[in-house]
Amino acid sequence: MLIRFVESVGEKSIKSFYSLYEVLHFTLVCFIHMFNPRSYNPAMRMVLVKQIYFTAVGILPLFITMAVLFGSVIIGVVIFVATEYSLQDKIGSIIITFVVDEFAPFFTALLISLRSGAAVNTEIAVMNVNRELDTLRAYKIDLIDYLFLPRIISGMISVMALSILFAIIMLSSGYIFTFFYMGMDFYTYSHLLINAIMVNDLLILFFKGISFGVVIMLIPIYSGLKTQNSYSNIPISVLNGMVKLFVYIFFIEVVSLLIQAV
Amino acid sequence: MAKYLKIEENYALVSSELPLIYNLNMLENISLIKEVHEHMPIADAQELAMEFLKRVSLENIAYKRVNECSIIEIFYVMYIRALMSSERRIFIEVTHGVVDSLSNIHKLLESIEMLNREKEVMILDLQEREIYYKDGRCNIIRLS
Repeated sequence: MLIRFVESVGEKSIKSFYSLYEVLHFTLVCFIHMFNPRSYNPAMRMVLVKQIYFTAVGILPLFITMAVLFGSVIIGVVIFVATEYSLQDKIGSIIITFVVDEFAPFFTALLISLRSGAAVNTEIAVMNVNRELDTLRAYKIDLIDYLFLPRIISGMISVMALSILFAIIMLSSGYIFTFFYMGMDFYTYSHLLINAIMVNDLLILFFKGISFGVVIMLIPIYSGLKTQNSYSNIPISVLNGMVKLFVYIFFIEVVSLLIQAV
Repeated sequence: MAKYLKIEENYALVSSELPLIYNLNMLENISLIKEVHEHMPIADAQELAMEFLKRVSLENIAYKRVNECSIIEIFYVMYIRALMSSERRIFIEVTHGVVDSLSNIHKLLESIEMLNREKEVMILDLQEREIYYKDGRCNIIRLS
């Protein structure tokens, strides 16, 4: 009984470590291709442009609406709580830390994961089952260059750009609340934020955007590639890919919090 | 098929096992090969692809996807795609529906020849359909 339990734990651990090793190896190979100028052929560049459009531009109306709604309400709550605890003098840094360091990149990552992550996972899984990936291999078209790299780069660019946009909209819409609730004029509000923001905050936003962008595309691609040759396996592949993706997103968030704490 | 014959390294294969890419139109499916292997600009590669489609009067399917085309149209696009590759030899696996009558095969062989005069083309078909190829433009080799 005990031996079986130990065996089962051992087997699962080995599988998990092997899976992690495969993901890391895949990531490394993709990054090597990213820095190879030969990867950037005209077909790849066209896919990259289309991917940026689908990931970052197509989502804009929903994204801006959510940023405005969440921005005014959440900043309102933050200011309300800060006032309750007599932290008015810290409101600027509280808002910047909350919006720029945490909420904007995390919320953008969640939204892009649900929209583009799931779509990419399905697309690669369908191509795998339809044997389209075999076609590309047979015609010596590098899957990483043509399919994966444009999606990973578009993920990095899109998540970073949308995180910045989300932070800007959120901070701007937060002014509406401060104006009505605290009677704060725009000059005071903007100076409050400008004085509070530091290079660190921008670096965190940048690196989190890049990291989230990479995993949001890389994990679904990897999951799609691992789909068995049957249409019934596609939903399972998407399900597993999305669960793994959310684990990685939370992992990055926790690591980022730990780094900031240190 | 490709693995069994171990031909993927020397031949450009036209086979149902290597389907067209579903989210690309016919023109993009053909031009993709030149864009990737020769870094040919998209406009030039698509112009070349269109030129080949016109030779078999299929310019009307240039912007269509796989699900909008017939089996024979898909076959021609797959063949033109194979022509775009740098391989000197093309291996065609004729699938069910492509050849279903004598007149059909003669037209097909004419088109294959008209599209290509440089590369060596081999066609694999079932022995029971050998009759279709008799008196045609190709040599028949029986595989036991």
